[in-house]
Amino acid sequence: MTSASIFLQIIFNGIMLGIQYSLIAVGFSLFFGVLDVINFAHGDIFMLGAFVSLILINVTGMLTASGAVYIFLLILVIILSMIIVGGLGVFFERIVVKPVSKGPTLMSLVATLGLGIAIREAVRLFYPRGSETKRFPELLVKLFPGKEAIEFKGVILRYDNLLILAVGVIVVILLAIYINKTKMGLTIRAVAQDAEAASMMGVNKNLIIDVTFFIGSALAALAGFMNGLYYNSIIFDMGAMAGIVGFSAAVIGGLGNIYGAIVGGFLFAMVESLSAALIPKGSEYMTVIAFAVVILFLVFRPSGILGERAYERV
Amino acid sequence: MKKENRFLDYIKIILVEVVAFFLFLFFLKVESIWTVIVAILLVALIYFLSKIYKEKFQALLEPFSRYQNFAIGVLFILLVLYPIISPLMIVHSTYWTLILIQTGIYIMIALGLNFQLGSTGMMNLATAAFYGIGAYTAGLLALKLGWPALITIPLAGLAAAFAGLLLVIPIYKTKGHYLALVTLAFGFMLVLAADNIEVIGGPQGLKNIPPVNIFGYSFLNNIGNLHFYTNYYYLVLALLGITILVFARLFNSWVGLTSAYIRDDELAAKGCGINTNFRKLIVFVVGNFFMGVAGALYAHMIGFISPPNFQFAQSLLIVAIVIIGGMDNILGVIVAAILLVVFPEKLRVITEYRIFLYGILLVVTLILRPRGILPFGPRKYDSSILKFARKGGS
Repeated sequence: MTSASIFLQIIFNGIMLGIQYSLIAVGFSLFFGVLDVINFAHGDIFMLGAFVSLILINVTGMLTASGAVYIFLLILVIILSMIIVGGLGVFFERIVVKPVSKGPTLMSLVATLGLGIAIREAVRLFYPRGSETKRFPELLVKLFPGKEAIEFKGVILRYDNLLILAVGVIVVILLAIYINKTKMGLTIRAVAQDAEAASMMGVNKNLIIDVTFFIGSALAALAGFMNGLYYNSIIFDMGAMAGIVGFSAAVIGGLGNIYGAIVGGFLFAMVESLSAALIPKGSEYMTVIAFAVVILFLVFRPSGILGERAYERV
Repeated sequence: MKKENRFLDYIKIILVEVVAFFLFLFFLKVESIWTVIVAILLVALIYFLSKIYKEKFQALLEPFSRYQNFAIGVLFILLVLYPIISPLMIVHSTYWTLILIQTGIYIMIALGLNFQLGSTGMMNLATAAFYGIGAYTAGLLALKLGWPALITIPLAGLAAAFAGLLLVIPIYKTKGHYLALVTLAFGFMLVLAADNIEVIGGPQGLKNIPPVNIFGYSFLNNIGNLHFYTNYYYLVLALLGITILVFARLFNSWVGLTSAYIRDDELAAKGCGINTNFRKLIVFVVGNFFMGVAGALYAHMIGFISPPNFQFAQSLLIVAIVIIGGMDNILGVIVAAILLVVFPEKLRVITEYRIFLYGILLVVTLILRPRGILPFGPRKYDSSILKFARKGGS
């Protein structure tokens, strides 16, 4: 391998992680926009996404199918897991997040942390042998027998990773269109900017909150599916770290700004994969370095990359 | 005030506290999941009765606010007597003494955080990391240099306080959620670093940290036929008393007042000529000092520390204590610490479901009482302070 191809490989790995982090971070940003809460249970929603898609893969029996049926089932699994987890996200929002969001900001923080613990433990207790690491099957290899991966200029690209890349790009584009071009997107932005003024203009605020939580949770579920596919293993407490990374990414980008969340997610992932490769013993310190970069970023851009500069008025 | 009346009030205070104390001991004694349910029902019943018989209840509680010092004194005596009484009642009294010591340590940390978060409005999600800095400092000084605990405990506090100074620029520049993230990242960095630095033991941590030894008296000695944990119980009780005294004085002083001003409206505070950034830094450093001291106590008592002891989950527990306690409320913090540290130990009977129920209890508590169990009200200035002010004026 030439140094150029190593560099390309690092960038590619960074993009893989970046897609996952961004999809989680978008949820944090969306929720902060409409409800002014930091939903720390979001990382566990991400974990639920991985588990629900694993269950669906087993239930639909897609691993025994082949050809067009296989592709159909794959798409079905992805979409169904997003819908189921999105629905769960709305459920948790209704019973926990919205009621506590009326109290002081920090209360909602602790309540959502409690919710996250409850979700995590529920999976550990009620999923069969839930405290063990679960194997997540490789999916696209079945369609291309004989070859595990393709090689491009010395960079090894697994088919599953290409799937992550394709789905990630499609979803981000769809999200951007949805937020910017549709009426629902417009109302979401309106509620995010000023909930009271928006409801005076006839926006059904509660409906918008539900929709936002559905979208955010569905995206986290997709990220969970991708994470399972990327590492080929999932475990009940994978959401704890993912949630913190997603929150960091959302804050680096500027809370409340969706593009900021995406940029933040990619930045965090790039710093991680670059430091894992370039610094000796870097794989142990990569998260340390990523968090150090987070702190530096906040010092020099206290409201994030794309966040609006806050001017206080008396 | 008539003299008999005062005597009657004293009796009332003693009676209420002794009954509460023995109920608590009984709660620790009975080892069944039913105690937890009965305890919850009892608290609910008292709460319910206090709503119906409001006046009688007030009459019962009124002496407490009138003779605060006496009430605290009685409570203190009961706590001092605890290690002597408990073996007579409780089978596994050593275990519960250890749990109470740990509760005391958590209260110390939580009071430090309460000063930062509750009084000044600065979110700190790295409490466990500062607590860990204290523990590691004490452990390393005792292990490598052989220094006695009398020196390492204050030094551990100073080390944690100065580690807070590393964050001076972020504190000056960020606030709210952004400051929360800075501290969170800082805590994570420290734990990950401790995991990877071989000099301080890496993932194995530090072993065989010598116990506290004051002027030749080793804390490993049993007091009579009481377990040696009793030594630590009294040490923690004494240090906790000092901590509470310090924070109560701070709360009632102009430091506490300006802190509350910064929390409620930083811009207005700035406009009144308060150097808000410097104030926040001082508050941060003072709060961290107590976390460091608590960490040193833990290190000397348990004798073994490793990075997992100081993870984010611990910080969360401490944040939960402060927030459920009602922010800026020392009594609330103490009640919440007992609830969140002692209560889960009772739930240990149902080991499997313990953390699950813990999460659900946290959520339900906050939905039912969104401002915490004992929310802070506006400050009350009673006649004694007004008298003081008048005296100062003349």
